[in-house]
Formats: sequence, structure tokens, C-alpha cells
Amino acid sequence: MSYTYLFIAGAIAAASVFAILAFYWAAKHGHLQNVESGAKIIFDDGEPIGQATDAFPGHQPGTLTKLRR
Amino acid sequence: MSPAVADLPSKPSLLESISPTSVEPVEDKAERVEIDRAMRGPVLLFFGAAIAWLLIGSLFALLTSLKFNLPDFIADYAPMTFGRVRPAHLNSVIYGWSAQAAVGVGLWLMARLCRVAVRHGGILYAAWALYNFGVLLGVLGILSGAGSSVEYLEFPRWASVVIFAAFALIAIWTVIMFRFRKPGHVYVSQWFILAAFFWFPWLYATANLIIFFLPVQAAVQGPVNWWFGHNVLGLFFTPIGLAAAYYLIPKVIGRPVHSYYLSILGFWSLAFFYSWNGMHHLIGGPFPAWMISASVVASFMMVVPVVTTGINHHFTMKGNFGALRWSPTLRFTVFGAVAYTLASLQGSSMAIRSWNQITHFTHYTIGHAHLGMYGFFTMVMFGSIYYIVPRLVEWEWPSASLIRWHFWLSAVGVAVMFASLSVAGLMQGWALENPDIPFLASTNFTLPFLWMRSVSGIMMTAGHVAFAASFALIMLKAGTRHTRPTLLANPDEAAA
Amino acid sequence: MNRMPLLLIGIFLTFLTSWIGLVATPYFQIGQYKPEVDEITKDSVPPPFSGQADQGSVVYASNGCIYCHSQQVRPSEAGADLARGWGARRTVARDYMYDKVAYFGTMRTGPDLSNIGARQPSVDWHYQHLYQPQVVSPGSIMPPFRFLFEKRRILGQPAIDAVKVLPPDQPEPGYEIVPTQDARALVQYLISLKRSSYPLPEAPEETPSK
Ligand code: HEC
Repeated sequence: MSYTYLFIAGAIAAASVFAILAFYWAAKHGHLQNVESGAKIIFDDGEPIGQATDAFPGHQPGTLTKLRR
Repeated sequence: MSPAVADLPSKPSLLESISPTSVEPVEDKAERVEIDRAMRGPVLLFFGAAIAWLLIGSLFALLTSLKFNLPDFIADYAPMTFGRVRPAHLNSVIYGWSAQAAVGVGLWLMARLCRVAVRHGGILYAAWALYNFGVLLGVLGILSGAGSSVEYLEFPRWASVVIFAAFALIAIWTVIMFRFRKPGHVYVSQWFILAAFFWFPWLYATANLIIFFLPVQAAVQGPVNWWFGHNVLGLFFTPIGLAAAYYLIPKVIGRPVHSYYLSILGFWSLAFFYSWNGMHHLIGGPFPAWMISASVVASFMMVVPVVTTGINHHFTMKGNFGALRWSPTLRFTVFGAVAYTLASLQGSSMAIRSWNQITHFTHYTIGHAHLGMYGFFTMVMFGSIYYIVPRLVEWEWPSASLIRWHFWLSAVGVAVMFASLSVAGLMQGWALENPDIPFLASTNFTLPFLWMRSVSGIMMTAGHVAFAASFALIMLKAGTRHTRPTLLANPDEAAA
Repeated sequence: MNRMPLLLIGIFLTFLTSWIGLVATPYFQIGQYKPEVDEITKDSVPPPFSGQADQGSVVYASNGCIYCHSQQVRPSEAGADLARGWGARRTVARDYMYDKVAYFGTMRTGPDLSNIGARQPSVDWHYQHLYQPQVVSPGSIMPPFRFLFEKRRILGQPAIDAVKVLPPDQPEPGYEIVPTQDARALVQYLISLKRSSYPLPEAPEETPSK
């Protein structure tokens, strides 16, 4: 029984150490820089930012342009 | 970037396969069309089968619901007894509908975001056939009395093996696709999908092995059962639903997600905290206290990913809520995103011990499950299917009013269902906790609300019929082809 | 752009922690109990199941009793289970050591059955109740399980375990209702359910707090 608790404590400690190391590694290699640019990856010249891509069938396109960026 | 990917010959952008009406800029569009064409077969098959199971599952659901109020209704035919149609409902909507919709949406999104056309599509056809064979075997097994009564794992073990094999094929294929992705950033939706497709086979294999194939004493089944049961929702369906929301909401309104940083934070906190949640289904149960406490704490911590996700979607949408009027995809998806926040916060609250004491063992939990699996996940899948299918068949949805009917029936239906089950559950729990109230009073209190639940179920089923009709019509390419709304043919014109 | 290894390792490790905590640990911590044997009388608790009862648990599974009945008794600080008389103490992991599959349950449309064998030891009552729950227990919404019984023509003596059917479901004269093998096994299982009717060292009997 007490081994179980020791084991759990050890596992938590090991996981924390590993998480800190991984975080440090990621920061050092610049992975935490420029994070926001990733959000734009789903847009391209064919479907640029500011362009709606869905509407009810038969819907007038006029309203599609009233989008806020 | 690993070298293997860099070495890959870049795919020719099959210009000849562009639809004749398309205009510049041609490259991206050509690529999208090519990818969509390659995905058409497998994804449509998964969607089609998913919708068929949705209808079947809805019928089982209605039967189950009615049997609460009419215990004698079709009671003498063993396959239709309450204790069999209820798991038949759960398993056909979980494995038949939800998981197949998740696979279809996951595959399509993955292909799109990896920007590769499907390779080895044959594997997917085989997996589809095998998977549906497995689900069919499983549901028939339950009806014939071979069900295991281990919640979420009721399929007889021979069916589980088939399902596992099929899913392993899908997962392997997804990893292959991911490996051959075009260089570039890996979007957060891909993280979610990759993780989900990796976690599910692990979950499913572990739970089946420990409960059925290599059993130890039965007490172990409690933690393993709920580790599985909760994680299949939280680490398979939720990530797929979120992947779709993180792609579709920005894409439909043409605006990047409000904070990409928050979405990544959401990913890691979900992965870490959710996986520990399961034991809150067993508060007060015959298990070591530390396990239950760990799950209670992890359930509270779920507020972190949920609130970050909620805030993120809200600010992405902010100023564009008017778009809900004209985009079916957005309507369903945003409804789902809101339900996700509500269902998850409710879930955390249900881990509070004094509250759990009342809601545990009652219809309140069932209401919560429907808010999550239907209000959130299923609605997001509806939204995704409305987005994806026209791009695959290159045809417009034939009827706007069918879509509207579907939305309102489903949305109002699930809201009524949630409300009636919650009230029923609270009354039931309150009565159960007061030993001076005779037991049967606790069931009697629920009966009027269970009638209401049946009515809401009928509404949702009607919505599903409208949805299935839309799907059948678009597959038959019924109606006239509209060029604008889904912008298949002429994006520039619509944006002008 | 080389975030992939981190992502994949993260996906693996986050999940591994819970796998270790909620799967591997219980496998060793609560998967290998031994019974408590009384030095003098050589009686052991929990009482082992009979073969029929094991078979009955399969019938219990295939007809989905779990969707309305739980088999776990919460301690008095976590619910009114004891006050309702559903057990003499909370259930603990060792109470399930003889089950092939344990049906802890998550729903109480019907009462908890952890100790139904102590509460209702009569085989006849169970047959009657399964055959016509609404008659035995007016207002019950438990579905009848008539398909677990057979109607037979009485040849000579009526069968000993023929169901004492109450009106209005009685068979026509000259016929009797007898349990099938499934019903017999199921009822053997039910009357053997006495999970927390005796104390264990780790779980003494409790007095319910109202
Ligand atoms: C739809 C829900 C439902 C299902 C399914 C169900 N029951 Fe019940 N059960 C009830 C309700 C409600 C009661 C309380 C009223 C009564 O005694 O009938 C009950 C009572 C009982 C009792 C008496 C408990 C007591 O404390 O007196 C037993 C024994 C029982 N059920 C066994 C079973 C078995 C065995 C099955 C599966 C073959 C089963 N039940 C399936 C709802 C259900």
C-alpha cells in the first residue's frame, strides 16, 4: 500500500521534471516565439482572410461581404 | 522538418482537374480541389454510414425513452427489452454515428491541413467496411443478449476486435498522411486530430484487454471502465470536435482564431487534465480514496482548457455574430462550441462531492451526457458535414429550408431534453437522498419529465430525418447547382 | 518548425500518466485480494459465489439490469444509501473479488442491489417480481421479464419452482409458469448478493446517519 503512494509521488515528480525540461527545450529552440502566426496558416490566396466560405444554398452573396476582420 | 518529408517530390498541382469555371489564383484552389477529390470516396462513405447509424440509434433511443413510461411496451420480445435497446442506442450513436462522423471529419481536415491528396485510399475503404461490419455485429450481439453491460464497452468481444482492427487501420493511415504532409506550420486542429487518433486505439485496447481478455479481480473494472468511458468522450470526441471548431469558425468568417496561444494552452491542458477525470463517476464507490480525489481535482482543473477555449471562440466570433444568420456551418458549430463550454463547466461542477451526492445515479447525468455528446459534439459534426460535403460532391445543398428545419429541431430538441432530464434528475436525487421518502416516489417524480424527454427525442429524430434527406438529395445531385454560397466555383466573385 | 517530436512525446506522456494512475496502479493495488478466513470456523468472507450465480451474472449482463440498478453502497457521509437500508456498511473493493464482471452501475431508477440477497432472500418472490413487477410492486416501472419464463401444460404434479403468479397474469387452468434455466441462474445470483452484510477489517459496519 505505502509503495503505491511512493510510486505515485515518484511518478508525479518525474513527470514534472520532464515537463519543465521539455518546456525549457522548447523555449530555447524558439518554439514559443511567433506563436500567433500559426493561426493564419489556414488561409491562402484562394481563400484569404476576410472572405466568407459558407452560406445557405441560394443565399445572396451581398451579405457575405459585411464581415469584420 | 524531418528529412523524409523534405525529400518528397512535390505533388504536381493537377491544373487539368480544376473545374472550368474556376478563376485565379489557381494554385491554392487547384490543390484544394485535388485533395477534396481524392478524399471524396472514403469521407462520403464514412458520413453516409454515420447518418444511417444516427437514424438507427435515434429509433433505439425513442424506444428506450418510451419504455420508462410504458414498461409493458414490447416487453415480451427479449431483443427489445429495455436493458438491450438502451445499450443498442448508446453504442449505435457512439460507435456508429459519432465515431464515424469523427473519422470522416478528422480525415478530411487532416488531408486539407497536411495539404496532401489521399494516398493508399484502399486502406480506408477496407477500414470502413470492417468498421461497419464490427458495429453491426456488436449491435446485433447486444440485441441477441451477448452484451457485456460494461458501459461504453457493451459490444461482445468478437465485435470489439473487429472494431479495433478497423480503427487501427484508420489511425495508421492518418499517421502516414501526416508524415507526408507539405512543409509548413502544423495547425492546432492537426494536433487535436493526431492526438485523438492515437489515444482512441490505446484507450480501446487497454480497456478491452483489462476488462475482458486478461481479467483480474472485478474491482479493477471500475477505474478502467470509467477511465475509458470518460476519455473516449474527452480525448477522442472532444478533440475532434474542437479541431473542427478551430478550423471552421475562423474559416467561415474569414478571420484567424483570436488567440493562437490560447488554443495551444487549451490543447495541453486538455490532454493533461482530462485524462485523469474518469473516477469522478465513482465518487463514494468501492475504490481507493486517492484515485477518486485525483479525478475530482483534475475535473476542477478542466476549467482551464474550457474557459480558454470558450474565450477564444467568443473573441473570434465577436462582431460577426450576424454571420450565424447566413451560414449553416457556423450556426451548428457555434451552437456546439457554446454547448461545449456549458457542458464542461457543468461537468466540473458535478465533481463537487456534495453536488455529486445528489446528481450521481440520476437522470441529471444523462442530461449532462446529451449536452456534451449532442449539444456539443454532434452539432459540430453536423456543421462540419454541411461544410465538407458540398466540396466533395461539388454540388450545393439542395434545400435551405431542410437545413433550417434540421437546425431548429435539433437545437430546440436537445435544449428541451437537457432541461427535462436535469429537472427530473434533481428531483430524483433529492428524493433518493431523503430516506423518509419511499423509493418509488423517486422514480414517480421523474415520469412527467421523461414524457417530455420522449417528445424532445421525437423532435431530434425528425431533425435527423431532415438531415438524412438533405444528404441523400445532395448525393443524387438533386436541385439546381448554385455557384455562389459554398463558393465552389467562384470565390472572387462572391468576395467582391 | 521542428515542433513535432515535442508534440508527439507530449501526446504520449500526458496520456501515459493517467494510464499509470488509473489503469496500471489499480491493476496491482485492487486486483489481487484474498478472502478473510475465520481461524476457528474456517468461514471466509466475502462468501464465494456458486456456479449458478456466476451464470446468473451473465444473464444480469445480457438483460441490462445495470441500466437501472447499481451495486455499490456509498459510505454514510457520501449519500443516504445506508439510511435506505441498502447495506450494513459501505462496499469496498474486496467485496467484488469473486465477480467475473462487477456491475457497479451509474443509475438508480431501481434500488441498489448490492445486498438484495440479504434483503430479499426468497426465490419465489424474485420469480414473481421478475414475472410481474407492476403487480408485486405497484407503481414500479421495472420492465417485466416474462421472456425468462415458460408457460407449460401441467402434467401430473405442478413443478416445485412454478411461479406463484398473481392476478391478472395467471395462466389458464391446467397450465403453469416455470422459470427457464436463465431465470433460475439469475435468481441464484440475486440471492447471493450480500456484498456488505458482514464486516471486513477495512470496512466495519456503520450506523447510518440521518
Ligand atoms: C427500467 C429500469 C429497470 C430495469 C431494466 C430493471 N429494473 Fe429492477 N427495479 C426497477 C425499479 C423501478 C424497482 C423498484 C420497484 C420494484 O420493486 O419493482 C426495481 C426493483 C428490483 C428489485 C427489488 C429491489 C428491492 O429492494 O426490493 C430487484 C431484485 C430487481 N429490481 C431486479 C432486477 C433485475 C434482476 C433486472 C434485470 C433482469 C432488473 N431489475 C431490471 C427498475 C428496473
